[in-house]
Amino acid sequence: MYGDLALQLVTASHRSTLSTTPQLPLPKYALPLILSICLETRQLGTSIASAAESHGQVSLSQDRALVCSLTVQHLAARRNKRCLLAYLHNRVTGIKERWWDAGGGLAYLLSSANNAAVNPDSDAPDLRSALSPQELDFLRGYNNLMLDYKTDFLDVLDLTAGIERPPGEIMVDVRVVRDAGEVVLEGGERVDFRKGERFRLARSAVERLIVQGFLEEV
Amino acid sequence: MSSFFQEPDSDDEIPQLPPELPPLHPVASSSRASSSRPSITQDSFLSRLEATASPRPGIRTDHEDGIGEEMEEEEEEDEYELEEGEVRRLGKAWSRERGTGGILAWEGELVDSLMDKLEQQQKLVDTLKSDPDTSEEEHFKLVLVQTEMERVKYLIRSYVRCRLHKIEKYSYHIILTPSLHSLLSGAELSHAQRYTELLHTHYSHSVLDSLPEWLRKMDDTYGDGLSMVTKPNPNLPVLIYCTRDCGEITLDSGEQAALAKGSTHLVKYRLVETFVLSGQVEVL
Repeated sequence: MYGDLALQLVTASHRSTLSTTPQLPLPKYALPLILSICLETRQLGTSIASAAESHGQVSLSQDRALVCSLTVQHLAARRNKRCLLAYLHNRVTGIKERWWDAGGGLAYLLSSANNAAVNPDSDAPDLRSALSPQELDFLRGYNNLMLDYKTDFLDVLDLTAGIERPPGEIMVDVRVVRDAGEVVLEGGERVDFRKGERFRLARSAVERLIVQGFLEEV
Repeated sequence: MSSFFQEPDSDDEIPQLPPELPPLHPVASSSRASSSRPSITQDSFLSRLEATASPRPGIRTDHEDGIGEEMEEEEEEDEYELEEGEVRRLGKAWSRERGTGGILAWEGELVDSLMDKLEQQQKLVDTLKSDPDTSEEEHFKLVLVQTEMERVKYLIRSYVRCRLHKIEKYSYHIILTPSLHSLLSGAELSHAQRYTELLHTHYSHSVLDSLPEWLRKMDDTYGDGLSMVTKPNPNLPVLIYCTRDCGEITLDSGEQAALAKGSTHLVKYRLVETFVLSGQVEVL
């Protein structure tokens, strides 16, 4: 049946977004499926074109069977396109969400360390290998766009800091979960973060490290 | 944030708050009880209300009065009074932006002025902090000031990001509709343009280029009337509080509903858009 593959694609895509807490790892880009859907659509396209060529305008309106089959093929092709775009859109949303969750740290997002931190015991693909080359380009492009946008604000505030809840205290107690090495904080203070140590620091200074999973609030 | 925007679109008119709900404005219920519809149970209404209200952990502007009064420096106090009004105005703009589906006008002056003040305040705080004459008590007050600054920053951040979210969602629609351009700041408009470009390039390179040519467009309308260009849904409900009398509106069912001063209602955005834009009602 026309459209079966496309249906398979959107169902899988929908399923992957069902759980947001905890966030599921982004599934691998379904390249083989997408290629076969594109192929199917191209075949439909050729079939429509050749049918329209071999019959003139007159017979088109008289030959009901032909009109019917053309309509079905046409609709199936459009539906395929819609499913493909829905799939891509869904993934784009997921990619952007992960970008924001990581506080805009592209390098961190694509490093395998991130994956190890999120799912230490699963062998799910890390984000870099789950993305298609085009999606990687998109992510990089988006990163550049947002960097441009947030520079206007950067002397006063960092747009990419979390907005889940309004800030309460300025200081925060943190425990080091992973070695972060020596980090220069706001105001030129140098802190050597070693696993297991506890610190009391300004929240805005270490917010990013908390987001990226080096520190944990106590 | 995303959950907030993904409320199910319902074509049902959501009626006004039931009498026992708004402790703030008990006046609301009595005048509107006549048009209340039995079809929507209070349970479903309550859960909707919660879904709407919960993702806004309140930065409550009234809370800020307290901190404002505790400022130690005389000359700062005057400035702070002024800023307080701005914070409150931004708070309103923020909840209006979050509560509605479409993009609203960018509060550029407000944000710029607040950003300038934050910068000055930060310098002042830094000076006072490093000043050895600053007493213990003053240090405590400084902490309060800093907390307050963090909260204002949060407000700006959340406001800007909420707009970005909408701009990205409706980027193509915004590009195609010149009348919307005046609502955006220059940076936002260029972001919308570049984002649309980026997205379309991505779609084209990923799949569209391998489809037949007549399927490569990005602004098709499907047979069922659904367009590829996402537009804000004007039928989404908004929760509004009337700061003054707004007369009567006609609901879709043909019923009349009075928007009396001090009352709270949940209605389709389309019906009250003019009031929201003119500031006669606040979006909660």
